[in-house]
Amino acid sequence: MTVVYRAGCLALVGVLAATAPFRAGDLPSLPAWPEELGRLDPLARDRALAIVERGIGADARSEGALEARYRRGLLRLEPVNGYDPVGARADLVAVSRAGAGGPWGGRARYALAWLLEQEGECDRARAAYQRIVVDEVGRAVAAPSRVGLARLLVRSGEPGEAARWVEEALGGGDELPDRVGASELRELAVRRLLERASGGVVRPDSRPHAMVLELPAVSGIAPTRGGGLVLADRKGERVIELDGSATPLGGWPLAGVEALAADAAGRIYAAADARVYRLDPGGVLSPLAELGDWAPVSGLAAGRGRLWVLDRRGRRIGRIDPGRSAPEPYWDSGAEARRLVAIAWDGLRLVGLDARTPALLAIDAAGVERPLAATTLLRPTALAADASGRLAVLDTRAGVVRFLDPDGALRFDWEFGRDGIGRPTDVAFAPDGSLHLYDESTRAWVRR
Amino acid sequence: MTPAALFVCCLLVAPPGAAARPELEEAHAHLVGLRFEKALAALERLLGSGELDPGLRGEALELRAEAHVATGDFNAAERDYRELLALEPAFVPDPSRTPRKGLERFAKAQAATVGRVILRLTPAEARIVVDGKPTLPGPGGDLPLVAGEHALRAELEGFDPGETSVVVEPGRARELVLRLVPNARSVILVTEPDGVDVRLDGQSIGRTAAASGSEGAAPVGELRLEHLPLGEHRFGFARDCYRTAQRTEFLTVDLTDASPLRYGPIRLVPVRSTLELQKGPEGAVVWLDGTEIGRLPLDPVERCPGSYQLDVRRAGRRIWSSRETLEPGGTTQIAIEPRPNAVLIGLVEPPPALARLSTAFSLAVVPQAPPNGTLERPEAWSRLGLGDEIDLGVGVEAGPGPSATERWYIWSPILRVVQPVDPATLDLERPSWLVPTWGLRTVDSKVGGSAVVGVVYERGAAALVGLQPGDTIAAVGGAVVTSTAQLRAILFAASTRTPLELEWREGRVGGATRRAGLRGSLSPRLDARPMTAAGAAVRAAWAATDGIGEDESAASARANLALLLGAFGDHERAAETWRRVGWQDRSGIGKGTELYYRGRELESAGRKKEAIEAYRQAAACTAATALDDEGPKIAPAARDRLWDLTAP
Repeated sequence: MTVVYRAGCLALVGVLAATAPFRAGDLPSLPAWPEELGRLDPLARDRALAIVERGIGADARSEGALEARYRRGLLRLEPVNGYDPVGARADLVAVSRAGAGGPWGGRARYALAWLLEQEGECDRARAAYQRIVVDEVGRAVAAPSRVGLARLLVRSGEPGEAARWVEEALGGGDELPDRVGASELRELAVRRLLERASGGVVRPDSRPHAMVLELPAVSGIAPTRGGGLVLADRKGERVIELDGSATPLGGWPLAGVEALAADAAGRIYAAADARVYRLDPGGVLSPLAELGDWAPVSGLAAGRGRLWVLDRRGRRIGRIDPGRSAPEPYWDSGAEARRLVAIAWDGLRLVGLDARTPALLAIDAAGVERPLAATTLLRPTALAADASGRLAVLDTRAGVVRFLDPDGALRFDWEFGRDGIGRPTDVAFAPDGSLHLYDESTRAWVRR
Repeated sequence: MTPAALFVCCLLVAPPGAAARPELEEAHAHLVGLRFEKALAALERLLGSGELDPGLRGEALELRAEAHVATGDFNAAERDYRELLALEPAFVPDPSRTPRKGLERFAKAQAATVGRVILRLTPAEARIVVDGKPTLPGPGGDLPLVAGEHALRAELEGFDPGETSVVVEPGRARELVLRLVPNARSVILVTEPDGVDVRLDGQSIGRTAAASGSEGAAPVGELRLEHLPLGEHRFGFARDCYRTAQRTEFLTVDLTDASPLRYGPIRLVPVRSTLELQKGPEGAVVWLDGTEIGRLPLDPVERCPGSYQLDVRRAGRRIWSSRETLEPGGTTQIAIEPRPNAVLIGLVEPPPALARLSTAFSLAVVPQAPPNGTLERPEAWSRLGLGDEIDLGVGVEAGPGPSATERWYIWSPILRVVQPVDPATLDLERPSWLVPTWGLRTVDSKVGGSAVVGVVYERGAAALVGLQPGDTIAAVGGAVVTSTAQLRAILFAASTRTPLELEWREGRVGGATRRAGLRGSLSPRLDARPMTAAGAAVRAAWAATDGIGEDESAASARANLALLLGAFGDHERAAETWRRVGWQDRSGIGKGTELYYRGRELESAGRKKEAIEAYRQAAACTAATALDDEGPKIAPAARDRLWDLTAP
């Protein structure tokens, strides 16, 4: 019995496909944690669902049945057609109750906390993570829950507490799920902690680091975990992935990339050719949505399993929910005559950069905008946000990158010209809180 | 009165012996009825049968002699007397029943048949055997014997037997002197005091009893040993509370004095031992050999040397049990540390890997192993009748088959579980119920380096010396800090009794390097990690032992016991144990912690309303933490559980 995972397709070979009982060990490609969602295409998800259904047998409290139901809950959260958060929640709640004290009950509770976080229920998510940290000491689910708790703590302005919990997650010797991003989150939390301790003064050792790439036209950058970078090479009609020393790791053949974005789990998305793609490992392009009249786009943001696209005129934002194949209207400038030039997800909300006012807008889950604290912007052209809510606005006329608090208050400016940077075109935060930009004048990737 | 009438009257008042045969009774009846012919006929038949034993024959002869006298046949009567004297030389007819002429004929027969030996015997109580037949001499050593030669033997315990032969002439008396030679002697042992156990040549032979007339003076005891063989003897004298004495005597005889020899008085020297109990919980009750002797702290007590069963009890629980030997004149010091009560099944003593069972536990031993397959079932342990004070059981069975290896099991009567166990991996050490806390948490990172302070707890040790989030720990206790893990290990092992030297760099720009003495504090510690049944069994035993008392450590032990009970499914007892933890409302581990965990057990026990109330109260304790004083906050977890329980 063999399961082959390739390019998001779960292929079942042998007796497994028809009559064999459910054994999770036979399905290594099944998501075991919510962070591992997004690897299956609809067909593979449906096949996997058919398999796990067999495991939900008469003895609903058996470990096998609990695992099968837990995995069905996760499969229902796969961001493909058929995405079913209500059904998933029912599965996970049932497993969390029936399997209390056991491994699957704990995992189900973790997935529920994660789901609350995805849905923006931050207080409840924080309480749910905290409960797991209290109740599941020494179990596999404790470590990712500490990271989840830290994620919310760092976003709520408690970087020290956040750093403490990630440190305990990493130092406990427990294996963390893939893509949970604990190391990067720890770096981010410590950055904020040190900034706070130093009163916002930039430390002398935080000088930028530049690497010349010799790419004449870059239409988007997205830092990756481990210090690398994905960037769109318009001339080369491709997207390239570099490691931390700018060595190419691979790429995706994709022409006309209009925007790139990375989500909290480190997945890279690209808008091009009136579509949004997920750039999967091995050079695989997984189309997620048709943009229709939203194309071409001028901005792309990713967060909590959703994607947002900014239309070319900067007047409309569309939202692509998990499992949906097209954007839904989310925000419209209406009579305000705004012209957004960039959007970014800051861990809690979408932030838009209005070049006309110029100003920063926070847009809530209902699509209602709220201006952030007034900060002097001359000609803002790019925006980045990290998971702590830190904002970075590239103001080319002022020759600075303005670092702002979540409320829009200026924290400090970086006069990039002093570091030999002439014409930056894009900025982005890496998961570890470092700022990345591409300088067209020197054709260099700059990291700070 | 005629001879016949006199004879009948005498027969009426003196019936024959009860052992007489019916024929003899019949003859006697004929005599009483004056039917002499019939009586004689019956006696003739009886004496002619040849089957009479000597005693019955003698009676029959006596009756016939009387019948003959009654009928006036004195010759026949004399023949009967001769025959009768040959059987019983000491026979004398009853003069009240025998007419004068009959007595004359008897005297004639006696003079012709019997002689006398006047025996002068020393000692007089010696037993006499004449011709192999035990014989009792009459007053003055008078011993009638049938004329002729006789073999005499005199015997008495403690003397060599004496033998001689004597020729007796009819109608004459001769004196015979027989003196026996002693070969043993009686001894009277006299001890002071009485009640002393005496051993003779290694054998216990008795105890001296109070001698009459010793009242009021020092109690004196005596033990009489009869006929002790001559020669060297070793006597041992022992009594509780006295030093044991030995005495060797060479026993001889004094031919002029056969009275018992007195040894003593042997005076035993009193001796005492001191038992000194140290430490131990105040108020605990001390028992010695089943008698309560006081409460801790206890002044040293004096006791006789010997082996004693020492038990210390507190709050209805045995916290110490040991067998102690008090050496004569010595002081035995015992540090009472409450310890669990364990039982070892199947061995006389624990193997080396489990040596701690002997030293750290109050260990009872049941050497006999139960049948194979018994120890793997909790109910089987319960049926072994081990009492209700056992906290932990360890047992071994021979495996099945001739070549199988032994199988070890551990049993927790507290958690009601049994698990196979490898003795080599079983940790029996006392857990620590408190953990040092220092008021800070650090983090390692690429951007900030090692041991950057992430959290400083309000009013904690770190806050008191001015540490701030963002500072970096450089050194602690003289050791350069290279990582958070290293720092954590140092702080975990450090004592909170003395300040810990700390060096740190301030995180603010231009910050200085500072040093201070950090004084940690002890926090209750909840170990909620999953553990094997074997580990939990040991932990539960210690928790039950250490959970008695009012101090922080005892409360923490109770809390850990409650955790274990809950983890092993006994939610009702767990909830009750949580209720008894007794933490106050304080920052860190406190009332909120207790309420939250108690709510969990109530929820698991199906007592939803009570669980909700407990969670509500826990959610209001915003400063309460889990695990330790610096652990995760309880209130959010309680809120999450409330959401679950109250959701529609």
